[in-house]
Amino acid sequence: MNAATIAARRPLPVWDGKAARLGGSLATAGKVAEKVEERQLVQRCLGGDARAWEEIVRRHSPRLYHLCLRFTGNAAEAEDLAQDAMLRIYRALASYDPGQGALVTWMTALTRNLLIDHYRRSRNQRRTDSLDDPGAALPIPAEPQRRQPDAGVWRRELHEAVQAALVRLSPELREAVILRDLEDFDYKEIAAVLHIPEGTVKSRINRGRIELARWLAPRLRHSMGGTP
Amino acid sequence: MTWLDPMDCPRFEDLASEFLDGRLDETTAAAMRLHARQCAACGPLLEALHGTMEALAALPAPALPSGFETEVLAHTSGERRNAAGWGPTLQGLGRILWQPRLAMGIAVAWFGFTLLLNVTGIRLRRLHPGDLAPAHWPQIVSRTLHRTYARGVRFYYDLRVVYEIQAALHAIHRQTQAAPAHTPGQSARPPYNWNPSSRTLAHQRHPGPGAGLHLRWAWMSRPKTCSLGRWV
Ligand SMILES: [Zn+2]
Repeated sequence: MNAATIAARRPLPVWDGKAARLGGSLATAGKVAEKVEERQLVQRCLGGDARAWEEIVRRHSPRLYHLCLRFTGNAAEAEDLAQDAMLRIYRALASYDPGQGALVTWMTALTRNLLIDHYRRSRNQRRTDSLDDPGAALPIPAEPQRRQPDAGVWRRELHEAVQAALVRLSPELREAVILRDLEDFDYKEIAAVLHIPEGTVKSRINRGRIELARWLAPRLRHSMGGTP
Repeated sequence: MTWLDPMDCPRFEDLASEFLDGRLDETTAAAMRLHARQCAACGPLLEALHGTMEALAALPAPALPSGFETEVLAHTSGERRNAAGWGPTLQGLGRILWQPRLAMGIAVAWFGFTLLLNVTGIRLRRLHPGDLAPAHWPQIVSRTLHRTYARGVRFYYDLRVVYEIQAALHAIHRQTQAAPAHTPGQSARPPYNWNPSSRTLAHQRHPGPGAGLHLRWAWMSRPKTCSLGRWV
């Protein structure tokens, strides 16, 4: 089966839909209003308004927890890290400069630093599998199961496989892919969070996705081939 | 790469993610599409990348662990309020002032202050803003002095009346006691009876202002067996 027949059988929807979703089509006016509102929220919080801080916690905790969970692949570690991140954000809030970028970028950068510190600390404690290690056992079953599992089981297994593949990525590629494909940051925002040039962001996202695609391809082919 | 397909495989791979993210100009994007259709390696790569992105985007956003926000707020809100609000500061001050020694000191100071106000004749409830003007102070002081002088005079006259009554009573007493004969022991006694016990007896004989108190005390200290016996 060559690319032409794939394209004929299942035209790639990404060329229209995906591009439109990710092409920065979010209304600029809405973003500006959001920024102004966030600036006011931070000001109120710094002025001692407990409700403003509660609002920040309520708004941003799920996103930061999600980031920690996908980066570590461990719910307990993610909870500790996300809580630690919120405490640090609280203490450092006075140093946040709205002129430097959105609150969410700043919060994510702070959380990301914690994640990297955590990764470095735990690297020596547990065996980390290199991406190039051919002996590393992949938790992804390459062989499609003979018995047709129901849709729920199949989906859950796919999620587990994706999460396992994410954790196997090097932290540099992992954080770039998570921020792009899970947190929906654009390239510029990722460059701001990671303090790296946009060109490096491009290459890390691409390399990360290609690594993941190699591991996930058998399962994905299976899913394309008519699984529920 | 041919004249029909200007894209080569390494370049295709480099641009694959940007292509899928819709970041390429139309010319480059068209070249990518053409190459994907014609290249046996790059077509499936693009397909797999697209599938991977979809699988990543489909990862469920998990709910926050229960109590996450409460835990965060418990560790944070207090600090900020302390840093900026007056409430906790006043509470802390209240806690310090409530210590017995300080509370006692404040009570004594307040008592002294009210005493001073009383002596100087200042009534806080009747205090007008004009009274606080320094020009009015001599007036207030003079009014207070006059009032105090008048009270003193009244007290002196009252004393004189009492003294004259007492003198008259003594005279009557002396006249009535002149008749009976004196025993030597009795005559050696001082004119005033300083013995507390006999003074009590004197009070009982001549009920005065203090007699009620004595009677009340006597009632309280008497055995209550009767009433108890009635109820039990
Ligand atoms: Zn190719």
